[in-house]
Amino acid sequence: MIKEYLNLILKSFKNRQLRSWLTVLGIIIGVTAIVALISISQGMENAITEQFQKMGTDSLRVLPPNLRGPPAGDMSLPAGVADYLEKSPYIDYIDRIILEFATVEYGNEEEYLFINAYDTELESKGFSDMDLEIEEGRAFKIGEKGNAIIGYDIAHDQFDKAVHLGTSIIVDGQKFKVIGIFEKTGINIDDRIYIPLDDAKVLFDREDEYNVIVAKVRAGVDIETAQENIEKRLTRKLGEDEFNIYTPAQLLEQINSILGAVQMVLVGIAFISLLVGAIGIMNAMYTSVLERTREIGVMKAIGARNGDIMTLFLLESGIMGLAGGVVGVIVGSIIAYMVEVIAALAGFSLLSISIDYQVVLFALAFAFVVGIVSGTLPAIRAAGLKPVDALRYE
Amino acid sequence: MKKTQKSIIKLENVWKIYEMGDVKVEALRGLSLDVKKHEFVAIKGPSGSGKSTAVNMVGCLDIPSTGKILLDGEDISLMGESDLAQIRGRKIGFVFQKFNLIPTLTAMENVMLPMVFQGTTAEDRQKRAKELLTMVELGDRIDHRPSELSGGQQQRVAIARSLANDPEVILADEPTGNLDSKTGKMVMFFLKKLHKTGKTIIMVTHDDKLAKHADRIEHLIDGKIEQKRKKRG
Ligand SMILES: Nc1ncnc2c1ncn2[C@@H]1O[C@H](COP(=O)(O)OP(=O)(O)O)[C@@H](O)[C@H]1O
Ligand SMILES: [Mg+2]
Repeated sequence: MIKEYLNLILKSFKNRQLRSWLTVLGIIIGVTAIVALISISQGMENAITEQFQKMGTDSLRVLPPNLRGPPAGDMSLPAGVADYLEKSPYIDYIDRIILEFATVEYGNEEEYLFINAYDTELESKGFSDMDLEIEEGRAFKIGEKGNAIIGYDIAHDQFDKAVHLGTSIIVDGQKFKVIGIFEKTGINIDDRIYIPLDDAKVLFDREDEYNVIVAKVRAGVDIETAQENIEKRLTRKLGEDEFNIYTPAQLLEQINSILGAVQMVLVGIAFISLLVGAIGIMNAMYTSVLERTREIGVMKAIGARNGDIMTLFLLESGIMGLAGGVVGVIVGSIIAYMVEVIAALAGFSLLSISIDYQVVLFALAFAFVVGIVSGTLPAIRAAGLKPVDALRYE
Repeated sequence: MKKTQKSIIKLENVWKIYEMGDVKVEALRGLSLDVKKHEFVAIKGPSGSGKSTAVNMVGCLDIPSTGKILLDGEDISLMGESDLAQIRGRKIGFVFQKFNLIPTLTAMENVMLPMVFQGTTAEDRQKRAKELLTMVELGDRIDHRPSELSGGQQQRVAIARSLANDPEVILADEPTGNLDSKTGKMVMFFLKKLHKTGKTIIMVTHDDKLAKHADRIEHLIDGKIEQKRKKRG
């Protein structure tokens, strides 16, 4: 039975004008938004989780308060934080980090790049905590000065001429010899230049003001207990709102909640488009009922029950929704993959998109249901037409 | 064909009043009619006299305001819409003045459609539709759309469609009204052929020549049958 109905509907679609197809646009946009959104945010969540796993699960991060962007330059922690952490019984060792934008000269080119100061006392410990491998060259030695380790993209893409080991770059007027190049990470480290902390302190005129401190928790200590205790004592010492201390899980949660807020806005847009699409379908179906009033009369005259007419029109509007959904899934997938490509071009190659078949099924089912729901009133009108009146309709 | 005395259609004092706002139109004013099984009845009358209204009511497309309509002994004025639809589908075949084929469907699909609503299997539908189209001499046009057929051909498809569920009664409301006299005769030829196979036929027409083919001619004036009936045969 359904098969015959489908045949009837598809035949009538062939006669449709472009106008009524345009009304499905809202559904297309809505489904596109849903598919792209879910796929991209799933990819993003995976990427972020992966990045956080790289940070290690047993390090606390101490950051300046009220951050709006990366903690660089003036956004620094008050003096004394590093000393306190170093002496804390919960902490094994700390990595004091200075982040600063600086002009970097290489060849005849000058760029404005992110400089990351690294405490050479840690040797390669700080790198291995981040799962960061050196592809060419070596890590810093204790007390080493005047040398730099550069990110993969800095070495290969940043300047017209690739930066090789042993060549020199000039950071804010001071010369650094490149002794190492990191492997590709897919995250912002690819675009950074690491220099020794002692050099950075002089170069950027810092004494005890760090932008970030990563504190490695002693083996056997519960990271949450450590975080709570340090937070309490350090607040007593420095006052409220002078710093934030996070476990990796908390950071992940924070970022995901920002992601969630963005998602909510996009979901809102998706639903508004779907609503517009639904109204479009309803309108198209009312037109269709009107245009085919006589046909409805004929079908009733040859034995169609009200329920048959109802099913026919509901199915028709459902198929319109579904058609919009199919196009939306395709466009949404294309957009999601494009975002992956663009993210990779922008240096964020951890983002890998996969279109979940459950998302596709959900989106299609949803579009179908939206179609059916918006076709309900027109279908009721069609089914309720009196056969004689419908047959008299010109 | 041997006529029995058994009534298949019986209208008893049927009134149909259309109300359009304040205006009331009395389309039928106490119409009584008795059609026997296997009879061929022609209905004549001036335009607006209520012919279509009467035929539509016999065909269960509408129900009377007052009065009784018995189809095969059952009073249809007491039935719900769903039952009426079933009766239309199974017991009645319509042939309209304007052919009323579904424009998007082929001749074959148009003929199969009444069977779809009765739940006939696809195989049976196809077989029967082909037979019927062959009978109206359109076996070579089964895949044509209505727009690709002439008026006479379309009306023959409509005749084939009216027979899809093998109904007892064929209702033809001015079936030749939109055709020239030559194609009109052709359509008439097929209606007579149906009559010979035992169908009961009620045909509305203006054409005296065509009306003469019927067993009996009824004159409808102002919503009732004129008393001086002409009888034939
Ligand atoms: N659905 C309707 N609503 C209002 N008036 C109608 C309707 N159907 C028929 N009529 C009126 O009833 C009268 C009889 O119409 P009809 O049965 O179509 O006449 P005929 O077929 O003999 O020309 C006409 O005056 C017509 O205008
Ligand atoms: Mg008429």
